[in-house]
Amino acid sequence: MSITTENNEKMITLMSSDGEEFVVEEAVAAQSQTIKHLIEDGCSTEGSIPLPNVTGRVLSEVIQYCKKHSSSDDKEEKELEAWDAEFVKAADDHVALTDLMMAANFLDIKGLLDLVAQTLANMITGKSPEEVRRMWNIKNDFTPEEAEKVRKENQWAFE
Amino acid sequence: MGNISSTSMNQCVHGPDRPNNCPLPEDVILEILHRLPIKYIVQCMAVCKWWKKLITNPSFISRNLLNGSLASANQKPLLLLRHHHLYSTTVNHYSLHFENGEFDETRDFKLVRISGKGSRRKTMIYSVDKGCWRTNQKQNAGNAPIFPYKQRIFRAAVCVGGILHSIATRVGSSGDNVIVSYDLRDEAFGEVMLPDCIARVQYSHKYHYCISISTYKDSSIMVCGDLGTHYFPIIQVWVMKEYGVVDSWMKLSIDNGGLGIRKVLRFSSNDKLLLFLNSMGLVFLNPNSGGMFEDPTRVEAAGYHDANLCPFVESLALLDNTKARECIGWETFL
Repeated sequence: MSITTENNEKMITLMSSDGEEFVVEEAVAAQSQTIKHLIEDGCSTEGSIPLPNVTGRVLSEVIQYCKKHSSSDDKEEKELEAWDAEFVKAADDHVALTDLMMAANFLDIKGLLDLVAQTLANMITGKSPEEVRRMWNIKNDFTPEEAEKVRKENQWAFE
Repeated sequence: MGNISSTSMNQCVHGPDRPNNCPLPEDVILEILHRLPIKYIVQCMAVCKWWKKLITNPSFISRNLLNGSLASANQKPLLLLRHHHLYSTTVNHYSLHFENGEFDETRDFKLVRISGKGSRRKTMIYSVDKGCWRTNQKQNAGNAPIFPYKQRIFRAAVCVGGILHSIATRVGSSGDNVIVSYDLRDEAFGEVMLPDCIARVQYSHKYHYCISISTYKDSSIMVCGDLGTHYFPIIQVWVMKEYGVVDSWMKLSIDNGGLGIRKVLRFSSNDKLLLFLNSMGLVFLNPNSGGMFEDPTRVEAAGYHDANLCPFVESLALLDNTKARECIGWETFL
């Protein structure tokens, strides 16, 4: 499907895992290296590009980011930074951020990946291993003896 | 995306694979971990076995060091380790160095070790990426003297463009001081000639800091020599304006008598000279338009009798690596 806007921008349709469709300018979508390669390989000609790993809720956030950053050439860097800060703040909690991070990773959008990874890193800085486990439901597979050994060998980091 | 090599991981690390119930894929976890301060990375080793395996992977350690040093682009990471045997005169020096961005094909961290005496001297190189020691083939082949210099080599090696520099004294009748260079890419030694008056400065045991070397504007080297005595030092500071060009050595004008300089430590990035003075401890000197240095700014209270300076970078290197630990024994971080 090839739609063109009034200013002759090529549009493409992205389809989320839950069937939601998003029509965006090709230049916006191509900030994702994954989508860019799919377009180059001719995968978009038959209609929409299916993104089976990304839900509609997450995809709309990703597109929001890409739109802002595709038209950023004439903008102040400071303003963009402030926008980024607001953007991750709006994502609310680590679960939403993790979803966003997985999408950025799958879609290969470096700027977004950097932004979200740094936000998550800031969130876990200062948290105990137990708290980190709870954030992502990670199972503690150390025996008490093994856990003690890790601690003992790296005493300085746990003080 | 991060380029984490899975082959080197399989070679070097044995441990659990990603557990089925872990919600995060490996590359996502790595992206987050790499952005944590070292202390919290180490803490995260206690999260689960799989995280511990990821963190102790040599390629993770290398990339982490790389990230850290790129973050502080002005800092040329260099870590000097010294190893003294209690009952012998042998001193082993280790100089851990990261080859700065210029040499993309070998983004590895090397630990250079020079040990032994005379003809039995050998150099060993530890690759953080590979996690093992190897002999420096180039230096240990043939009958030529491997390293015809007296000790104190790499006592404070400085790095410019992937080459380590250190003051050494030639073995033999002349006994001149030279700058010994070690190219981390070619793994070969070389020499840079000093200005005549510095080359002839005699080392004394009492006052062995009489020549020191540091970087000059990040792209060349600066030496400082004491032409006086222990009690009446006369410090001369020379900068190599164009790296590698012996004719470009230039003497800086510094008011010796007035300041009581003990040691010149470094040229800071904003062209100030960091000095260690007898009376005032550490001071910064501003150069004025005429090239003279004036207007000392005190940094540290007096009371110390010596100071050394080394760029500092946090790293996970040697973490959980028994092989490296065995070779090094116990070491002192300077």
